[in-house]
Amino acid sequence: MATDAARISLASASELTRRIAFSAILAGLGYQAYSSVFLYGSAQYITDYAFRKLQQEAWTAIENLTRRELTLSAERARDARPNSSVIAAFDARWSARRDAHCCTVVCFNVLDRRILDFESLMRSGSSKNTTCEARQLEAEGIARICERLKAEGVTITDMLHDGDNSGHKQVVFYFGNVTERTCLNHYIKNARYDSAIASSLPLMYNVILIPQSHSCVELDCRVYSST
Amino acid sequence: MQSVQQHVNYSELPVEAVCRLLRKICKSGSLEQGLVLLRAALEHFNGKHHGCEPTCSRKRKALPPQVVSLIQSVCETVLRAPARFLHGFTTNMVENFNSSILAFSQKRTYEPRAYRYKIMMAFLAQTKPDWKRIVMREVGIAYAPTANANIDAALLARQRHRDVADSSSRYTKAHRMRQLNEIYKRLNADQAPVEPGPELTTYGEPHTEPRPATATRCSCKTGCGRQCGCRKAGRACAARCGCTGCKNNGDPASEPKSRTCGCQKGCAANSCACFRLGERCGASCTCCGCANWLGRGGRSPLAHLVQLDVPTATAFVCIDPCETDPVLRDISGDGTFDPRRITAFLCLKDCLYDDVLAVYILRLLS
Repeated sequence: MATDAARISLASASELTRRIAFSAILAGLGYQAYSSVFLYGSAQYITDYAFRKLQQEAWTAIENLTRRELTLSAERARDARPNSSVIAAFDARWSARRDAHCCTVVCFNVLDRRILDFESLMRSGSSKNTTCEARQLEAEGIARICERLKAEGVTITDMLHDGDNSGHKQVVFYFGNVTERTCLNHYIKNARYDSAIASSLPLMYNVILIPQSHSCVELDCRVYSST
Repeated sequence: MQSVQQHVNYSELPVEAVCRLLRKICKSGSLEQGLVLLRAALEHFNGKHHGCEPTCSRKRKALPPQVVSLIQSVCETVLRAPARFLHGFTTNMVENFNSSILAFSQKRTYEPRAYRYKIMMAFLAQTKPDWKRIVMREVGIAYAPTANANIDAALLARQRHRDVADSSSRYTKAHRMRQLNEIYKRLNADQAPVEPGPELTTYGEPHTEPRPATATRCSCKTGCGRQCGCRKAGRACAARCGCTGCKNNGDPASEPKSRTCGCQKGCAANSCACFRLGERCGASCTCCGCANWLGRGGRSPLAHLVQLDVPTATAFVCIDPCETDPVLRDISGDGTFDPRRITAFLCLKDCLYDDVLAVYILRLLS
């Protein structure tokens, strides 16, 4: 069992101790989990205050670096086609299908396959940043992304999406007339859902029909799937 | 629909056969198998043979031309679609991005605030490969090769003294000394290994007489399970034992398991019966995505670490996320591989097992 004598401050911690604490922070461990690691030995580990301080510094550095990279990718998308459009694809992932408490919305540029922006929404917990309902999380995330992209000067005229009307409405609100194109993979997914509901069969046993002229196939790109 | 009804007599359609065929196509493993079945169906229904036996004399009418054209159009549509639309959906960037988030969200021991930072890390791993180095520089963790080397050496020396002085362990001091010498010999080549002393008693005195040979023997009739005296004593059954159907042959894989689990969301939680008992999940468990690394070896996530025994150091290489480009870096150095100086390695790529690595290094040092 680790003893109190093994707990040291950040200033007196060795390089290895600091590196291990940093590694635990990057892996997402809290202080309780980090200190429980030291049950296996009597090596030194830093105190609660020092861990939180290091955690805050690391997270701030990561956030600054991420913001810088996102700004660069937005500027690159804006300058690459100054008089033309940016084809943006949106997709989201929830922590659960129903009553999700966190959702991550990603927007990437179809032409150069770079992530333009992303937003993580949490409905509960210490990092709660939204009060909307679970079904509105994707639209809320798309709205925040569009607001930031518009401030960067990026114009979206084509949108690759999963067919959700609410997300399209948000983009139209910020960028005007935006052509919505359904992702091919989502089109198949939606068709399978519809046919499963209509035929009351299990989802995986339904026939997939792939129409050629209904989806992002028209765009002549290599990445047409936003799933 | 009305034009079709004018030409097709639905009573002539082999409805059951078509349904059976469609069901078979849908259950086929891949799209190519489905296409083969579709082509076979066209040949079958257009032919004259009924299909029950090769020598069957009964004849069947050909399918109506509308139905044939329908099936043909389905075949052509599927065949004309390029292969990249049919396969390779899962290899795009967002799939990789989401999979790393999913792998994180499946670990429930993490604090929720770190969720959004984990997403940022997944983003940075794609766009900026040396992001960890930048963050470490901003946080203040030095990357200089000889930074705090003296402090580390002092820590090791104190650790060694503490380990030797600790008599609460069930191992003898000479045994611990041999273990530590082996470790320090690997960690520090300049430090001369200490010769192991005589075996000591529990009171710290050397044995004056040779220790009596252990006379433990068992006579188990049920295969030397958990009740076996030899197994309790921590040794394999010998020839002097009178057991029948012995399974205690010293192989750790043959150790009996008291529980099995069938967890669906990883086994690193108290809901797992094996985890509660402090055992690793075995072959009899039906768990999915097992994360129970309490045991040694087996299906542990430590299996993705390969230990390289070089003459003067011990290196750990993370190969699972970095399979295509394994990275060997010194955690306190400038990235050059110098086994005389390096004591431990961490993967600098986006490795989700950083905490496991930390545990492993601590086990090595303690």
